[in-house]
Amino acid sequence: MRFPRLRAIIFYSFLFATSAPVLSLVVLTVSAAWRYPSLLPTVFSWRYLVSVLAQDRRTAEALINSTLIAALTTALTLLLAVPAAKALGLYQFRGRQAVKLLVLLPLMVPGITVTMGMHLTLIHLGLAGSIAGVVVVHTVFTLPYATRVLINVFELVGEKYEKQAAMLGASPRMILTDVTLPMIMPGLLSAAIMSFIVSFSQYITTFFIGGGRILTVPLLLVPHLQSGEIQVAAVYSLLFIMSTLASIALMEGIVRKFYKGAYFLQT
Amino acid sequence: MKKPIIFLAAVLSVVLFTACARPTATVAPNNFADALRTARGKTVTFYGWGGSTAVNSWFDNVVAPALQAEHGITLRRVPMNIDEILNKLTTEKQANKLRGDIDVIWINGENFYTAKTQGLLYGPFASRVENFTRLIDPQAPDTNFDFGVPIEGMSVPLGRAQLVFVSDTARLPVFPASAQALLAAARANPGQFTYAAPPDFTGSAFVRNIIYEIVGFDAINNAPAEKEAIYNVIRPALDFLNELEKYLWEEGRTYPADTPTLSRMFAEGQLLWTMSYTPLYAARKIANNEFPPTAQTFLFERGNIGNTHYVAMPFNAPAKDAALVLIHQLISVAMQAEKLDVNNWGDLPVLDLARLTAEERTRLQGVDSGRGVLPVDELLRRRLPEVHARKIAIIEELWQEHVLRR
Repeated sequence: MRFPRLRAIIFYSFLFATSAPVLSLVVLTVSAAWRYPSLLPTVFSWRYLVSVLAQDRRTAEALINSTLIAALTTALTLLLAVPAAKALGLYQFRGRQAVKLLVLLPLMVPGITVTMGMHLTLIHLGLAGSIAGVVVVHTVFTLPYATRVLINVFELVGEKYEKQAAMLGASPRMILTDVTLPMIMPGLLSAAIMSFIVSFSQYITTFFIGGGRILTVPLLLVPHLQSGEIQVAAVYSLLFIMSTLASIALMEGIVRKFYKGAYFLQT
Repeated sequence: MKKPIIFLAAVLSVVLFTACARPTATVAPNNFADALRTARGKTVTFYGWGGSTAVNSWFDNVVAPALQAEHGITLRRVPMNIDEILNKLTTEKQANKLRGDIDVIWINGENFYTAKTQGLLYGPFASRVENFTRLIDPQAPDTNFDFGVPIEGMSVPLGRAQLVFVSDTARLPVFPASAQALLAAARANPGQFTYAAPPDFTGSAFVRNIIYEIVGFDAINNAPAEKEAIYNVIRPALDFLNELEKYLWEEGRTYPADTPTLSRMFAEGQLLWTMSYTPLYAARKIANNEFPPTAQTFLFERGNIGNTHYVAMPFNAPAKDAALVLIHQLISVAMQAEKLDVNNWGDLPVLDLARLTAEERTRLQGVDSGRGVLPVDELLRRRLPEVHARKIAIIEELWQEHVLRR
């Protein structure tokens, strides 16, 4: 490197820019008084941590719900997105470009509009107020991301390896498990992580479809944010960040264990 | 890898197609004794604003254990804003969903008006709540009218709030006790006063309090709820607010979006005052070390706006019997005393002191209301009524047109 010092400066300023907000969140959770112009809080207290983590039973319930819903949403999303992305990425048919654009529609129409309409339908189906209903509505918002990511992966990988495997006598099942899935695994992982995070951070949709029966972390966080109880909000935010990070690490870990990086497409 | 996918698909389809039975409406009990009997062992859901740990803790750590111990009912509190609750109920009414999720809601003012006129509420039910008939004054204005809207037994008072101002004796020796004194104080300390922009609940109440100061309560109360008429009546007050604006924070080019922001700016020392619709708010903030120990509550000499907040039942409440018992419990002497305690919530009681036994009265009057606040009887003495809910939106609109966007 010709400019080691410049490189270091850039590296550390990026590191600071990304970690400073999280650090200030950590400090906020224990700061009872943090008045302008003091750089650090003047009074510290465990009160906020205790009230959220120890005294409120809803915290555990919300964490479990959030994780369960995000996991189910991710599974449902991938189940729908993989075949759809393969079709859109590899096969030529009339209206393909239009469909590729339409896939993004849920992101262009305001979420609240989609949710209100779906709420009525889900009430008729008896799914409003259930985990299943929340998973369905979250999937509407995770599908566009997952499908877009996977379309690109399928376009990149193509189907020549699958054809070759078929010619060599592999059964459709073997092609799926030994050829297709390993080849798209990096994309699949990105799509899964994206879906998980999008589902985990849903607020309004969970609110409407869950109808308050299904409590998730954002449902507990947002009221405190709106009312200015920022320390309590900070505790929930950290919980939120840590549980998403842990889930993502778990997903990566499982994938690496099964695929050991042997077939990984170098992207 | 294929098997886990099939497994997941199976799990998902099982999850998706359970709970498809269509429930029917529940029957409401005819009297309180029936409610007590059938409600035992049930779960009752309370939906309301969940942004205050103090309020949440009163429900979770005071009301819920008492309800469980005395009546065998489990309380489930769900934090949800009233706008979203009403949206949900409206959709459920459209879908003709007769068995909802919500048993009791926390409501008042414009939202009560909307809910009542849209048929989103169940009732009248107040006369079936034992503590309502026993402990609450039937003649009190706030038993009969909520922001000028006739209640007609569709809701029961839960607590009383009042707009209070908070300043710091160490930084402002004399508190402004009238609109004119506020103008003088702002002129002497430019940039150190402001208020949250309506439709913020508290900011909006402040604007109405200024209207009372400048043109009087009767003038606005007697005006018809039409924009033109109200504009003519409150014009001097809007002129006053424009005069005041020159000396406000950022010279009034912008206003804080909400009152929590205002309080944070006061806590950080940027502003000389803040305000709250919770009369004992300052005590809690001082106890939390967020406000300095020299912070002190004050009112305008001629009084501040107060309102009452209520609980009601949605048209499709699934456990109406348990809801009646919960409401009965919420307005019991013990719960109201705990609610007044600043260590819990610090909200004024709704009970009629004349109807209490000597022992109950002592219980209520012995409550710790904390530092930096005014005594309960002074608050109730200098308490001004609210105007009709429909006028509030009009006033907020006029403020935006003539003060904010001038």
